[in-house]
Amino acid sequence: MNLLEVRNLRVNYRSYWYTYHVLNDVSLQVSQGDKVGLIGESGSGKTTLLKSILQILPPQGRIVSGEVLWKGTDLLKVSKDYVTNVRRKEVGMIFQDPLGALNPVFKVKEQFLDILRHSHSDHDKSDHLSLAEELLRSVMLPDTARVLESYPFQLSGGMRQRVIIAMALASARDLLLADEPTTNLDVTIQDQILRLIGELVVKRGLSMILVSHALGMVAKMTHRVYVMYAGSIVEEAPTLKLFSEPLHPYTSMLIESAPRLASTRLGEGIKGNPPDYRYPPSGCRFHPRCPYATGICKEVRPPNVEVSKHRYVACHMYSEGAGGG
Amino acid sequence: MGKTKAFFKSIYKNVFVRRALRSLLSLLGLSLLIFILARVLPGDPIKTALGPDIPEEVVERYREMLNLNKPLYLQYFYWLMDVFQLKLGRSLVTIRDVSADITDFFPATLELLLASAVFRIIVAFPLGVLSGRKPGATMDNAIRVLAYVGICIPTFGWAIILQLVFAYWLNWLPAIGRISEEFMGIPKVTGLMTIDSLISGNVPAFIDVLKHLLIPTVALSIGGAVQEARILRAGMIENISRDYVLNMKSHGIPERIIYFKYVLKPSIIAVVPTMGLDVASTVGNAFLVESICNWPGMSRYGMMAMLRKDLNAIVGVVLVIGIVYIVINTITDIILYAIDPRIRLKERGES
Amino acid sequence: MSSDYSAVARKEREVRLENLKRAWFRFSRNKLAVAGLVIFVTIVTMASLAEYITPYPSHAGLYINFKEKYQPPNPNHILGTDMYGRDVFTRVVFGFRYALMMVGVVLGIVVPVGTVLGLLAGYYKGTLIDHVINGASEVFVAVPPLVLALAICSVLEPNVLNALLAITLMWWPWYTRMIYSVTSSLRNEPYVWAAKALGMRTTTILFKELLPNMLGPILTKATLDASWVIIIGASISFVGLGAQPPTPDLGTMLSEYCRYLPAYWWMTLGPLLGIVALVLSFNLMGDGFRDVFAGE
Ligand SMILES: Nc1ncnc2c1ncn2[C@@H]1O[C@H](COP(=O)(O)OP(=O)(O)OP(=O)(O)O)[C@@H](O)[C@H]1O
Ligand SMILES: [Mg+2]
Repeated sequence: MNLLEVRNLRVNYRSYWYTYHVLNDVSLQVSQGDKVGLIGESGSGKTTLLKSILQILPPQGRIVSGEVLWKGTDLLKVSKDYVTNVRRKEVGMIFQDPLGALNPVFKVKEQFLDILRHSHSDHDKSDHLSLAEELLRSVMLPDTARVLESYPFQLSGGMRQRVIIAMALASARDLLLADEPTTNLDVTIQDQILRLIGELVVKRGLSMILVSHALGMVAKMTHRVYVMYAGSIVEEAPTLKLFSEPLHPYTSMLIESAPRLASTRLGEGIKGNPPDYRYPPSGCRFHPRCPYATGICKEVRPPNVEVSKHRYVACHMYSEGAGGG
Repeated sequence: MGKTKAFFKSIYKNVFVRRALRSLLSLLGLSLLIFILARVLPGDPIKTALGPDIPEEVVERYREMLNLNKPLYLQYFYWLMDVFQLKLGRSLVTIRDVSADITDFFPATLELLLASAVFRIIVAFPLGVLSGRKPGATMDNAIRVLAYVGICIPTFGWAIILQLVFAYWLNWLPAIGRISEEFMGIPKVTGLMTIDSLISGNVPAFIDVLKHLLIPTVALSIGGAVQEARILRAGMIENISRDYVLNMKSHGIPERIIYFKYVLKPSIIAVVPTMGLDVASTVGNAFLVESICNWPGMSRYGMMAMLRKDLNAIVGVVLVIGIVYIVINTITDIILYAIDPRIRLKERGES
Repeated sequence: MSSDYSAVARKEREVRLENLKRAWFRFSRNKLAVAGLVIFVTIVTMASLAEYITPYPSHAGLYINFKEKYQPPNPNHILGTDMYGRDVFTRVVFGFRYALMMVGVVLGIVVPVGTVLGLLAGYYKGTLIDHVINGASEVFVAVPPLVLALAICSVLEPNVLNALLAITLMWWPWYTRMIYSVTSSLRNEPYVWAAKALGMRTTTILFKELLPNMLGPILTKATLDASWVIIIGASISFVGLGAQPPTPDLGTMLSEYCRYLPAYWWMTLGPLLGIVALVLSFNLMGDGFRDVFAGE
């Protein structure tokens, strides 16, 4: 059985004036011990997907339809307490932006202890502090006393990210959702942090969804990769296959522009702009930017085709009867 | 010698002191402006104050006394010298030193100010928290309507309405004054009648004083309080979608703790500056409310001085209000310093 | 090259027009804002046609008919009559004139002057110009706005003109500071750098590049502050330092009428409602503008 299975998830954001149709029938699976990558340019909806899994979207976000099966139960249908328990003890999430993910007006200690109080409610109160220290040491923050007594803005970006990882570890006993854990960090620290996450996941026997722009790291750390474009999964493949032989035109473009990804803003290497989620393109959402687009791409949503074992691609070029190319 | 110098240097380095000094300087500038406006423009201030039929030699005597026949810069200089000795010149109307008048009237205004600050806090915080909890719910909409009503009716409008309804129609509260005649005898200690009546252990007097306080206090602060509730609400709603709150949620922390701790504190920090500024501005609105409610405070005194063009009294009251303003702003800064670690730790790091 | 530039300029103008259209569309979708606009237009129409639409235009100023005094609201006098037997409704409609004129004059002075000062101080942030302008504005915010306005009025003669002067002196620093803060945040935008690099004149940068980008905040602030002008103006005349009786100024009327308070309370209702309607309309419109320009 899959640990996590997301089926046909649709998520919108609503503002005063518009509805943004972001996630568009997203499906994804993670089985026990799986390390899965999720790549796609900025704004493709990766964070939205991870937040939807834990149902921690901001108030503007709505899950419109779909299922989030956690160990076989649909989290969108069960009681709040069940979901809370999953959040506390089973799934941990590393937020993308280390600056924004810690409350600026509370000490690290205060926030950490509140988390441990709920994720480790079976422990004694007095144990929580030593537990926090232990977790901080495990993310290579040896000066635990100083870190705990600090406010977030007194720590460097790298330290803050490590604190967030430590917090996520407190709740993650089965699955770790790592959302671009290295953006906004120094290039030198990026590698360290990713390697650290890799080690921790192995040591603790966690499954993981890793979102990252550092494609090299994704290649090293994951078995399987999902490629996301404009709120849709366009391709799924074993990691090595994906990089050696991408099928979807978007995947190829993404990989080709990879060297530039590390330094400059994502998406620059690919011609055209990401779509406007208020009025998403009809048919295949990629068709306005796709060099191979034909008439059908504008009209019909490409089905998810299993090209070979464990390889799926949502593109008319590969669907039967459509031919194309 | 070096030590005292270092001491003053360290005081000057203190942000609050520095800011307050700067404001004080602006205040002096303002006093100069009013001083000049009052003397340069046509019209005889003494005749305006004392009436047109005053004999010429009396006017001349007043002129002499007030240095009005000296050149302008000397007049200002004399006035400034007086100010440094905590004297504000002689009032044309009461013939006493303005500072003595103000000392008499100030406690009543202070009491009103404190009461309205308390009222703001007990109204704005709960309303803001309640309406931010469920945006769009009945409670939220009711508070939104209230906020519009609050902002559209000026303070003097509120005073009139409250007097009409609660004093004249319902007869629940006294319309004017500070205390009923029968309690006039309570010994004066602090000058704040709520506290004085408690000190003397006279509970009926205390209740009487509270009843008198109610209409002017509410009139002064209801509009602002509801506005602040809306600002607090907006802050709460903004913070709810921040990653630092979602992060807490992702760990399964109860919604109650998230809302009343992790959302509330940054939101309160955001509303404190507005609140401080609003409380400080009540000194201004007190001019009208004190007059309408016949509240024997400094603002009503200032109002009368203005109507009779009693120059020294006007400038004196404006100066004292400016100082109150600075004090309230400094208190706001100190509160922010105490509750916002970002300010506190940054500034400690600087010095 | 130059045709290139004019093409860009034309494009920019088109975009701006497009934005304006969208802004209007959004404003028109906001029921409260439209309600504010309707109230405002109604008041302006009533005020400008006061002679023709009010039942007793002669009651606006000095007019005495003791036979009709103290009448509660009735079909002939929908807001009742005052102590001289004048129709309160008529006087309130004329009162709108003074209030609107006050707003017009104060905004007409402060918006252009404050915009220029704020632009200069913000653009030359940290220089002498900045210090002088901000130092001057600090003098005017050293006491609460109402106190300043009252103090200025009191040392001058009590009349409408001086009240206008007082409100103008009181308001300009608040407005200038808003422009200042917007300017100092915009001046580091790439398009400003580009304009500088292209050797554009400073005035061009200020008025052609920066100013068009702050029309939204200007409109919002001016509209919201118009209600402030009304309230401060009414306060000044309420205490007797502004327009004098028998001028049909809303604040003056209110202060005359509230002396008859418990017994003839309906007299105060007219001027009070007048003030509330004006302030409400400006606030509703201002909030509407803010929503429109707040982005998505
Ligand atoms: N609260 C919100 N309201 C409206 N739109 C939103 C909101 N949050 C995100 N979006 C939109 O949803 C889309 C997807 O955002 P998301 O953060 O999921 O992308 P992402 O793939 O994580 O991008 P990045 O790589 O930049 O983190 C974006 O276009 C974004 O503008
Ligand atoms: Mg993201």
